[in-house]
Amino acid sequence: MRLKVNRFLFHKADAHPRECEDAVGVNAAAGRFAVVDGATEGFDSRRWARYLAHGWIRAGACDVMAAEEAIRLLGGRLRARHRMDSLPWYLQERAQQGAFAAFIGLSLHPPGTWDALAVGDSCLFQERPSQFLAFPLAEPEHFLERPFLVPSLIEQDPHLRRHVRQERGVSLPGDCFLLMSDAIACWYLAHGRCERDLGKRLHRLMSDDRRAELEGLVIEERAAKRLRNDDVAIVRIEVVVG
Amino acid sequence: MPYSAEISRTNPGCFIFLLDQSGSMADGVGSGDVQLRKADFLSDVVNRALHDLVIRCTRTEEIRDYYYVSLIGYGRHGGAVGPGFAGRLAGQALVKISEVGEYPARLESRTKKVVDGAGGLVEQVVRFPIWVDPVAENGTPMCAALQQAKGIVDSWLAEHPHCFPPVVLHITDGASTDGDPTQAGQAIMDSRSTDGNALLFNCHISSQRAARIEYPNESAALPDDFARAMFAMSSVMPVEFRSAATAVGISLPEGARGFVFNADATALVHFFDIGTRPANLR
Repeated sequence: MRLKVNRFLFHKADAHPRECEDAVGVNAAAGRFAVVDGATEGFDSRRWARYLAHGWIRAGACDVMAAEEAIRLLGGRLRARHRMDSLPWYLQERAQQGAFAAFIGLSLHPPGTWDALAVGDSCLFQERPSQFLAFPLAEPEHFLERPFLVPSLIEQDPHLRRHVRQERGVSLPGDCFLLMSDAIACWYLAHGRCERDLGKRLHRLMSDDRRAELEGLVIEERAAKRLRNDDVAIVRIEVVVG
Repeated sequence: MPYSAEISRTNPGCFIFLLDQSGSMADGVGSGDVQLRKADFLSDVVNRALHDLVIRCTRTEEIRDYYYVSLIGYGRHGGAVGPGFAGRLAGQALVKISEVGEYPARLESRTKKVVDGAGGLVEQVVRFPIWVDPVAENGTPMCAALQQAKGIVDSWLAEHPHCFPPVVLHITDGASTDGDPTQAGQAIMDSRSTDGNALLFNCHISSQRAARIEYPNESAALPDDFARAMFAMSSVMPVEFRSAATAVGISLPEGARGFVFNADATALVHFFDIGTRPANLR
């Protein structure tokens, strides 16, 4: 199975690049990919998003129990970095609440199957000429809800398992998988996929890795108020024919 | 659409807390075993509201200046009107939220009850930052206080013409002693940014066991002229604030004004929860 992979990360307008709290994980050799959207309201969510993305692409399993164990370990590692006594009162409070992130992870298996695991509103889309699959959210309206997110302090939040969504399917040569964080996923369902020229343009820019032009498209759509001003993370995986 | 401006560091919002610190604030509020002076309870609620604003603006490793805050007390120190911050921020009329977070006058230890994970509650010591101390002295120069708030609102709007409009939260326990405040209140509500008129929300707190009236949309049922005057100088609540009310279990009618009459302790806490939550913080 040959894969063509492109990844993109754009920060919010008016924000510094270092404030981007989305993360992408790519391990093409292992067929594992992730997009993680750290919640701005959490403490150290940017690092938490990176930990989750890297944790996923290094792991082998794709089940809830393994995910829970990994989150526990990664959460412990994150917590160990924080020297609470040296933090001012407001950061101590934030740190006590922990970090949060929306997560979508995809695992492609050589015989032509895939598994995905999601928490929150980061999305996976699978596209082929006659088929479109959206997971875990399929309608733009669903993005208005406040989703459950992966907590770094899993001990304080025992409901994670209830919110983990799993999906699996078959992949064929020519299939295209998109992993997207919430704002761009919502836009894709509402506009990018439905407006033929726009969809073609988007795929061309991603496939050709024309980063600056893709960022220009993001800026245009934000200015037109069609795309929410939020960080944008995309991983595009094409299963190459032949 | 009004009240839809995004609140960001480049287009921040402004809250003005206008606090009655007159002598009658020494009276009690609450019932049963829990009796507190109104002034004590008000300062606790304001400190809590400032704490929540700071936490809401704390993003990863810093406090982002999404808001500026003014705290005006009236009645205190010989019947004066002026900035109400204590400690290092004393005397400042308008303060960035990052400075509010950095410079509480002090950090006190309080206890709160939390779930112990085994079906019970345990007491946990938490740090409680203090920015305003309770004061209960002199008369109630409400007109002068509203005029001072109007000055801050207008200066703010001159510098931030496209901002989410400033929100003035006014808490009092009695009638004005320097004239009819209606005109001064109306003057605040007449100031506007391109996103809408400044918002004035009023909360009247009471020691009496009188019927509480929350967020009415008409004045007919109000008990007296004072209540009707407060109603007249209270803004209609934009939809974002009505959503915040729903979140704390209060369903508001169409056209509801930001006005609570005969508020008890719970109503005062809700008033701050609702009034400090415009939803479009980036």
